[in-house]
Amino acid sequence: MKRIASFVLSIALLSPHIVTGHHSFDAEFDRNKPVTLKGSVTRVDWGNPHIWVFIDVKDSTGKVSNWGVEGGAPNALFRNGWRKDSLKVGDIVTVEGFQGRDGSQRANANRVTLPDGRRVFAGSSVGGK
Amino acid sequence: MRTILATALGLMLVGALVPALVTPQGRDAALRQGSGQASKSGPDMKAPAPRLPNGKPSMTGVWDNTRRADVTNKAIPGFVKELPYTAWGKAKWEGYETFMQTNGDYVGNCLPFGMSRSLYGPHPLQIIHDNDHLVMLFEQNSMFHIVPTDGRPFTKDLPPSWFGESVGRWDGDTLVIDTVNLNGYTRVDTIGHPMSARARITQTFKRVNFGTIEHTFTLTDPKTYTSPWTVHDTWALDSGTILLEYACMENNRAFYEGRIKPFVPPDDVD
Repeated sequence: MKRIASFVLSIALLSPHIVTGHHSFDAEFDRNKPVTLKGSVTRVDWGNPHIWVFIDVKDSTGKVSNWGVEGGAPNALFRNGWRKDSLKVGDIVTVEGFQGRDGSQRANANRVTLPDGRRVFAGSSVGGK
Repeated sequence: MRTILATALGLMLVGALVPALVTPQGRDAALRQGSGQASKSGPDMKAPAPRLPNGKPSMTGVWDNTRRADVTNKAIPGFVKELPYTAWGKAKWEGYETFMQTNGDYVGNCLPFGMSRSLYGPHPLQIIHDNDHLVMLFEQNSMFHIVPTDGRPFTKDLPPSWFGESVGRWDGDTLVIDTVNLNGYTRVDTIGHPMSARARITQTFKRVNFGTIEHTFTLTDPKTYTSPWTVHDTWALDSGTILLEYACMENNRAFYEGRIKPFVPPDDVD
């Protein structure tokens, strides 16, 4: 089955042009701005062309800010067994990705990981909840 | 969970396939796909291709269309070894990232992906086929494309469009579909290989057995490439998949939060 549509960034980074499942990565995100965000989930927006996960992130001074993280295509995620409630409000996640070109608190998620190391909303749900 | 899901999808597929597979052989096969027995064993993918009432092979089914984000990707069989750019084509390829920053990304705007990016995108394709028409139902943006298969002439003075106008004809048991009158705004693939409004797409569909279509995609575009080139695909019948709605703008934050600019079409693609 080829319905593994999302999270192809790690491969695509080897190319001069970066592709994601839906649109060109470079149109929206900046490959020179890698970010790692750890925080608690405040909302999951499950819709096309990409799902969005919102998390509250605390910086080193204790200030909390809400980030929006773009994930995969919902139809592909659904076929791989994921559902909107695979992540719940309050879940703690670590997101590795790239920040938006406009410098806002928006990022593309290359990887979303739970504290026990399980990946969430990856192309395959093997081992996922 | 996956087993339950597959069973449910198989049952739902019956309703989609039964009206379209009209021969006794096809109808039986379609029914088998939805029966309790079928969910264990599935249809016989090596059985002969189902036939339309006119005797030609039917392409009906949901197909596991090959994902090609880059038609030159050597990891995917049937790729193009080298794209023979014209000077214009090479400039378009090398300038794509800049173009997107200045003119916006058309798919990021939820505009149509066009024929090749719908075929080679990450979402499935369903074909409904009868004596007179082949209809492509693309999950990508929930788009459809209707192809008459009687070899008629192309329509005169039709406005150029994202998917163009397609006409099919039979060459023995192979269906050949030509597409022209493209607007030139679309790219070949996700990575952005270029094409122009002068492009002609030629596809061939050969259903070699119940479970397999051999498909080719040939691009003839003298403005962009010095010679035609062809991609070869083998598609498996994907009897466990149903198409889902794809309402592209419902959650397109990239666009409505302003990170992707409103698309300004190129003015040099004719």
